Amino acid sequence: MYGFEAISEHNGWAISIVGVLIVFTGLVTLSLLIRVFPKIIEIIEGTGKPKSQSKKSEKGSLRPEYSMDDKIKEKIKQYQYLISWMGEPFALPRLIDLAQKRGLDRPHATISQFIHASVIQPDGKGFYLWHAS
Amino acid sequence: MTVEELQQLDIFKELSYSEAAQIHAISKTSRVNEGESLFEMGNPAHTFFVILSGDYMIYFCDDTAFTLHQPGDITGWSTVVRPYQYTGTAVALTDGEVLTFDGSELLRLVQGDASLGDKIMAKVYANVGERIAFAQSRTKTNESFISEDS
Repeated sequence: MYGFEAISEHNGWAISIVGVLIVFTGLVTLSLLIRVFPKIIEIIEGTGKPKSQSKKSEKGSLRPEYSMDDKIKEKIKQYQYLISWMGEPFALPRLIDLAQKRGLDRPHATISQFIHASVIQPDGKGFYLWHAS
Repeated sequence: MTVEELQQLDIFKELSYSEAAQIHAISKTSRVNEGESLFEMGNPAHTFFVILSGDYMIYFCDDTAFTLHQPGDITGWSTVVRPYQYTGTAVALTDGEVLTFDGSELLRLVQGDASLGDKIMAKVYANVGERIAFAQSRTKTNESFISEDS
C-alpha cells in the first residue's frame, strides 16, 4: 500500500491536522506573550499603572507641580525606566549616553525640559536625582 | 549684540563704555545646535564663552556634571587660567547663542589693561571659586564611593 491510501490507512490526515494545530496554537500563544511582556515588565519595575496609582495615593501632595503634555509624560516613563536601571543619584552624561544608545528622540532637549520642570534635580555633588515618581 | 547689551551681562557689568567697547570688538556671536560640543576635556583652551541663550551641560571625567541656563553665565575660563587646558566638556542641551572670545586676544586685553583685567578676572575668579567648591564636593563624593567600595 502506497501514497494517499497509506496515509488514510494510518490516520496520516488526522495526525498532520493535529500537528498544524499544535504549531499554530504555539505561535499564537508566543505572540500574545510577547505583546503583554512590556506591561509585565512595567508592573515589575514599578512604572505600570497599578503601582503608580498606589504611589500617587501614598505621596499625593509631595509630587512637584508642573504642567506637561502627553508626549512629555511618555518621555518621563521612558527615562524613568533608564534611571531605575542606572540607580540614583545618577550621572547626567551617562543618562544622555544611554538614551542615545536606546534611540530615544532628542535626549539633550528632553533632559533640559526635565531640569526646567524639576523632574531632574542636582544633588549638589555633581550627580542628579529623579523627582517624578 | 551692541556694546550696551554686552554691559548688561554680569561678567561685563562693571566695565565702562570704552572698556566694554574693547571687549565687544573681539567678541563673536555664534549659534549653537542642540547636542553640539563647545569644547572637550583635555583640549587646549582657545575659546572663552559667555552664554546668551540656551541650556548647557559641563561634565568631567568622573561623570559629574552641572548645567548652565542663565544669560551671562560663563564657561571655558581655562582660556585665561593656567594651564590653559579645558578641564571638562561642554555640550549644548538646546539650541542657543553664545558670545565667543579668542583666548589669546582676551588674555592680551586682560593683561594689557590693568583696570579692565581686574574687573573681568574678579568675575572669572568668583566663578572659579564656585567651581572649586563644586570640585571639592565631587572629591568628597568620590572618596565616599571609594570607602564604600573598600
